[in-house]
Amino acid sequence: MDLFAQLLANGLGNGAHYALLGLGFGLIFTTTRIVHFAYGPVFAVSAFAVWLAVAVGGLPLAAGVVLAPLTAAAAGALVYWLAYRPFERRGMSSHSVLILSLGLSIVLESLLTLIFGPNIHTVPGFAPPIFILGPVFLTGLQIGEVIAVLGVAGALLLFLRQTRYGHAILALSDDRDMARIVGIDTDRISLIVFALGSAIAAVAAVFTLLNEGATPSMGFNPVFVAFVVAVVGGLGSIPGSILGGFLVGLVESLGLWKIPTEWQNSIAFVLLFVVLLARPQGLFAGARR
Amino acid sequence: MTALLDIAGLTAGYGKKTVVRDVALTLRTGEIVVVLGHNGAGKTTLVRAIFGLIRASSGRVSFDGRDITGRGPSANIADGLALVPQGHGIFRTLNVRRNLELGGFSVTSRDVIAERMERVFALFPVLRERQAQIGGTLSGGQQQMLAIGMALMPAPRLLILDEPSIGLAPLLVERVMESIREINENYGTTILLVEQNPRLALKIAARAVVMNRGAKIYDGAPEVLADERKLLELF
Repeated sequence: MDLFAQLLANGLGNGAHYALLGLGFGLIFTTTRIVHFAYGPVFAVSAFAVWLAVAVGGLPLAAGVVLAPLTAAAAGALVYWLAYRPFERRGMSSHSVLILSLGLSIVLESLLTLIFGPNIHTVPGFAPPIFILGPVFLTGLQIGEVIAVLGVAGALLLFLRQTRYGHAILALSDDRDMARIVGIDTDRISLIVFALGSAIAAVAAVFTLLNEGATPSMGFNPVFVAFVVAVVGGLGSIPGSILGGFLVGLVESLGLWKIPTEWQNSIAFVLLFVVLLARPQGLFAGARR
Repeated sequence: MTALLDIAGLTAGYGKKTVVRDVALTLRTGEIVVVLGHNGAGKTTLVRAIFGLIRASSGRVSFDGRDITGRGPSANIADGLALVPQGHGIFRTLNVRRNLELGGFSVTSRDVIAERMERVFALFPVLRERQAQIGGTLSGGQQQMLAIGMALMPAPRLLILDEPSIGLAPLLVERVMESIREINENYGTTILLVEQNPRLALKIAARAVVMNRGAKIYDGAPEVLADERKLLELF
């Protein structure tokens, strides 16, 4: 039972991480219909920005952390404007954009390796506080990430429902042509969505940096997790991304109870297949924004 | 009566395919003009090029004496154009109220939005009752009323409607045509109405234009077209 409680706690911590990843990826996909594989390197770039500021620049951690969403927003917006948008303008098929996105992801990752080398870069002198609740060990990072995902999701919902730009994003994800017809500048909204989605990923990237350190390939797994979470939860649904993230986290963690560790990464994909077979629109697709 | 919309030598299409060839058209302020023609005659391409959704490859469009060729929809809306596109001109996953608000996306004042929404509700009372309903769950006729209501939110001087009667039962078509006439009479809105089915459209139009294979082949009094034989000849 003690093991179960610990696995449950780990699952919730990982779930929060996955939910953040799915939230940003899902927002970008539903609004722009672009499968943004370069989400991975953007995620890595934001972690390296924090590492540079803190480990090299000597900034306090709290100040460095603020850089993550800002860097990611800028990097995500640049990727959209310089890479995806010219393709869209020429009326390229979504398949071409998908291949472009994959290629771009590889190029950006190689670039990071050229600059930083393949080694792990950790933030010196950081150790998260540990909490012991009965039989369960929790790190401050696990608790922090659960709080972070709830805060980010709440803020995103408010933004989408209450602001002019939020309404434009909802309009664009519903029908791009109609959005143009009512006078929405779809290029500008796509740019904002790329910045916003990337900034959300950066929140997760900070936790990865503090937990494990940064490597150029650190974004590789998160893209796939983000994809699985967004699809399992139901594309376009914010509650879906949150619940999908926690579901993947919990299934993965609790699976360890009975399944050997080396299968952990496969569990998410097995879950994806099962969900796609049973409910192709995603588990919580009905729960629209 | 001055010219509100003046088009000269407009040629437009998609990619290398030219769909509309060298079309000239003038709309006077307050007029209702209907554009008739078969499927594929280039009616939709013509209005999408006027509204700025696609770029004309040559020709000139001017609105209220100003050259608006090559401008995008948001600039055109700000100047007083609005389009009800073919098919469902609504956001199907959003509710009626949000749809109307988005129709008025170019309007930044909340008071003006509220006031215009009241106008739309006065024209289509059913929309007031259905404010909270999701657009895609409305009936076909209600969706078309919502689409027209959305286009009215920026209070356009020129309202372009692309086959608003498509897929509607005859009684509803009559209702939609009636409301187009009301909009024209009450607000002095100039109307450019694209239709495939000429009968009802001809009743409300002051002038009719017929297109065939991308070119304008008739421009004149609608009464002439009401004559069955003449209509058959042109189609």
